[in-house]
Parts: sequence; C-alpha cells; structure tokens
Amino acid sequence: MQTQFWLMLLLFALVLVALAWPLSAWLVRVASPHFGTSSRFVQAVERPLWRIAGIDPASGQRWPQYTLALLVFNVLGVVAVYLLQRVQAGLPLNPAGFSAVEQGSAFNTAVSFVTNTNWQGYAGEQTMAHLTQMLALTVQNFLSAATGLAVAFALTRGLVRRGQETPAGSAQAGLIGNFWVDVVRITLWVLIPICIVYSLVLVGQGSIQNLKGFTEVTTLEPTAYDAPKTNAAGQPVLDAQGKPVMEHLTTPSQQIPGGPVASQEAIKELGTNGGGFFNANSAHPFENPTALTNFIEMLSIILLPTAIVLAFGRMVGDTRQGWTILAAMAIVLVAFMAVAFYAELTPSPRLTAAGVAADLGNFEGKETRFGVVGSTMFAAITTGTSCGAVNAMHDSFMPLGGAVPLTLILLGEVIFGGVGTGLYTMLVYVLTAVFIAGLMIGRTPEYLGKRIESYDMKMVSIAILLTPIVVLCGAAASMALEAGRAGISNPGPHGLSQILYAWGSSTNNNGSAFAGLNANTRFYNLGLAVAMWLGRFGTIVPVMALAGNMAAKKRSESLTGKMPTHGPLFVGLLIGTVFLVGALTYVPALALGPAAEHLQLFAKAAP
Amino acid sequence: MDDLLMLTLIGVLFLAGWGLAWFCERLSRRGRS
Repeated sequence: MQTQFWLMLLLFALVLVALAWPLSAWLVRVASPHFGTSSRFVQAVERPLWRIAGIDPASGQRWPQYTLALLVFNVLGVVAVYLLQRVQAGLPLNPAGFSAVEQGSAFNTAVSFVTNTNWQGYAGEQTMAHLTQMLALTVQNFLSAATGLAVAFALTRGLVRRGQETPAGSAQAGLIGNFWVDVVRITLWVLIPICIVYSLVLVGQGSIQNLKGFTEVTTLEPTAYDAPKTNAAGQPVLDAQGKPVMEHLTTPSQQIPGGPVASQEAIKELGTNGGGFFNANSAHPFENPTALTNFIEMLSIILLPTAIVLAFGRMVGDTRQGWTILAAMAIVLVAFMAVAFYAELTPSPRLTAAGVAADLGNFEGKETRFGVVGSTMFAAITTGTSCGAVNAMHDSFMPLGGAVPLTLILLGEVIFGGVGTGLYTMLVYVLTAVFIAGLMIGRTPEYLGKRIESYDMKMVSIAILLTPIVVLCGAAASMALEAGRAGISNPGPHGLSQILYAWGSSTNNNGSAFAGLNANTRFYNLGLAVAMWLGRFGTIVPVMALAGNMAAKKRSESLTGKMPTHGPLFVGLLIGTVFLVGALTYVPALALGPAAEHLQLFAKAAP
Repeated sequence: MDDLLMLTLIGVLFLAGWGLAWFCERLSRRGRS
C-alpha cells in the first residue's frame, strides 16, 4: 500500500503541473485589461453584458471602489440565496415537495455558499429543491470562486504596477482593475468552460444529472434498521428517562434521490467550494462514482490554486516567484499527506483487540472504492485547499490522521488554499517573511521592488490575526455555553476537536466537518455564519487595502543588496513563517484535542 | 419575524465589512498626512 501511495502521489503531481502550467498562461490573459480586444467572439458575448450592466470595461477602480463593489455584490448574493431557500416551496423544480428551509439554517447556508465555505448544517437531498440547488447554491459556487480569483488578480496588479509611471493624484494612480470585469471574465472564460467538460466526464463515469425527485426501488433483500418510535403526532415517544424509544423495522424498498448532481459537482471541486448535493458529499456514489473520478476530483480541487500561483509568477515577470511559493505549499502538503496516510495505516487498537482485520488499516468511515490511499490524499487536499468536500469521514480518522485536516485548516488555508484566496493569503505570509528577514539583516524590506512599510504591515497583521481570534473565541464560547456543548456527540478530547474543527473550518472558509457535531442549531447556525463572513472579508478587505497601497508605490528595478525572494532559502523561510505565525497559535488547543486523544487511545491499549 | 431578524443580520454583516474597509482607508490617510 505504501508503494501505491507514493506512486499515486507522483502521478498526481505530474498531471497537476502538466495541466496547471498552460492554465496559468490562460489566467494571465484573462486578467489582462486587453483580454478579448482582438476576438470577435469575446466581444459579441461581453458587449451586451457591459451595456446591460452599464459598465465600462476599460475603466479601473481604486481599492475602496473595488472593495465596495465586492462587498455589495456578495451581500446581494446572501440575500438572494436566503430568499430562494425561504420561498422554495412555492417555486418550480421541487419534485420532492420540500418546504421552506428554517430561517437560521437558511441564513447559515446563504453566508456559507457566498463566502466559498460551503459548510452544510443540513442534508442536501432532504432539504433543498432542485431550483435552490441550481439557482442559489451552484450559482454562488461560481461567483464565490470568481470573487476569490478577482482579489488575487487585484493584489498581483498592485504588486506589479509601476507607481512612477502614474504620479500620485493622476487618474491612473492606484488602480487595481475593475471588480465587475474580473468577475464576469473569470466566470465566463475560466470556470464555465472547464465545468462543462468536467460535468460530462463525471456523467460518463456514472454521476447523475436529471431533474427527478425520489425513485422508489425494491432492494434485493429487506433492510432491517432501528428508528425512534413516533406517536400519532409524529413526535418521538420517550421512555421514563426521557430517552427516545427505539423500534426494530424492516423495509423492502429504498428511496433513491435524483437531481442535477454532475453540474454542481464540477464547480464544487473546481471552485474549491465543497458543498455537496448529497449529505455524504464526495463519498456518495452519485457524486464520486469511481476511483478515476476520485483522482479527477482531487486534481480539480487543487488545479486552480496551483495555476493562479504560477500565473502570479508570470504576471510579476519572474516565474521563479511563483515556483517558490508553489514549492513551499507542495512540501507542506506532501508532509501532511504522508502523516495522515501513515496514521491511517494503523487501525484502532480497540478494533484490532476485537478481532477486526488490520491489514487494510483504519477502514472506519472510508469507502471501499477509495481505501486508505484515496481517502487520506483527498482529506489532505480538500483541507489544504479551502474546498471542504469529503470522500471519507474525518471524524473516523485516527487521532493523528484527523489532526492533519484540522491543522491544515488552522494554518489559514495557505497550503494551496482556495481559488485565489490561497495565493493572496500566502502573499500576506510572504510579506511577513520578507519583513522579518529585513529586520534580521538590517535592511528595508522589499518584495518585488516595492518597499514594505508600516501601513502594509498593519494590513498584514489584521489579515493574519483576525481569523485565529474568531476561531479561538468561538471555540471557547462553545465550550463555555450550554448551547455550544449540546452539539458535541463525543465527550473528552474528541469533543473539543469537533468544536475546534467547526470554528476553524468555518472561519477559514473550508466547510468540511468533523462529522459528529450537531451544528444545525440556532447557536451554531448564527455563530458559524458570522465566523465565515469575518474570516472571508476580514482577510479580503485588508488584502485589498494592501493591493491599493502597493499599486501606488514606485517599483525599484535595482536588485543590489536585496534579499532574493526565490530559491530554497526563501522556501524554508516562508514555511517557517507559516508555522510560527499560523500554527503556534493553535498548539495548546491541538494538544488538548487530537494529541490528548492519541495518547489516551494508545495508553489504554498498552498492556 | 425571524426573516426580518436574519435580513437585519445580513445588513449588519455588510456594515462590518464596510466598517473594516473604512478603518483601513482611514489608516492609509493618516499614514499619508
């Protein structure tokens, strides 16, 4: 199995680079203000859109305008998704006849999909009408990914722009692009074309794409199960201790859900969104039918985060800058992936003691068609990026295996990260690394010829510190309040891990869950939604301010006496900075959660 | 009633984002003056 893991990883890396390199060249073209000027087709598609929206595609925006447009666009998205969920019962394409989504859950879901988090406190196939899935959730999957890429474009433009060519006060000073143009072009010319091809591949492999409701089928043999007994009013019957009375039932049939799955699946992975059509997400055979689709889904999750980093190198005119950031990301991801893999090779000592076969590793919560290799690779990729799709239950991983997705999330989604968000958050760490190194060698810190000054570091500090503040305060509140503790399904360190994972996943806009925490309550629906919003825009706003400030600065072309920001030394410095700033914040919480659980499990198992 | 509360919350979230942008803009002006 170990050979299989490393060979699979090698193949994965080769295919990824082969696809990401040409895609990065295309991203550079799409980001250019001159994109499509010589193409009649592009003009024919875009011109009516600019006319309807009243936008001049040649006009640039300064960072406050760009940010305000972004905020207004996203808040309107939240309102639209919220209202669609609330009125879905009266709208068409609702074959199962689902009623309106409860207000707290609708609010949480609306914020979740707009912020690219896709945290789901509900079961999709039992809650959302097809129209809601397509018009609210899938549309936001496209738009939230486009927003992330747009911010990455804006920051890169800010770093590239030569301030001396546009004197301060002139109409061109500090311009970083046009938000509306960026979102339209990224959606039309990057996301939609790839998703059309990708959806067809998924359908070819067995993913479904229809508008049916539930289809009742007779199973080969009756299924026996236990369920809470209900009274005439449909309420659970309770015993003397207040616990639900269970009854043993058998059924000869099964309800198979239908829906437009493949089209949502494609952008769910490509846009690092992660919100599944089904509650089981990519573990469901209609979302991820084969080992091949599992490979393709892993590739598509990490494709755009890789391509945008390489595109950054091309845009700043020095491809080594992109490769350096990519190398830092790849080293950390492979290391974490290996930890998860080797942790999952060892089954739980309690299951082994009970006589469960140990040769396949820890198989609890994993699909047989993916196994330990396909599950641990997927887990590391989906949490290193801010995707959050899952093909195995992270809650069922061994304590150290589960610590891998948790830590990757808590690092701030910089190990490839989300579409666009990975690059701009990593650039915040790059500036921190350059600043620290500048202090150490006694020189004014500079990145790509631009001086890093007091204001830039203030913005960097806000971007880096806001997320851990929200995560740790949220987790502390959940542990302190009865409403927070009520959602925990496991006592002890595992319960703390569940809560830390929920707040970390929401605030860092990942969206995956340590299954087991009941988060569909008013406390978690509202609290986590606020965390998602703060995590998303608490980073975007200072990054935009940084972009604007950088755009107005002169760019020095002289390399004399400057610290190189490429090469192995800088890769090491960057990784060190990410761990020092990002990970140390959470060490106490990680020690009380997964580390304590690991010690408990193996100490009890020891003779 | 709950719908109104949720829509108000959405407005508050927007104001939080806008407020942070305003704060960052103020800091940049202070730096220039």
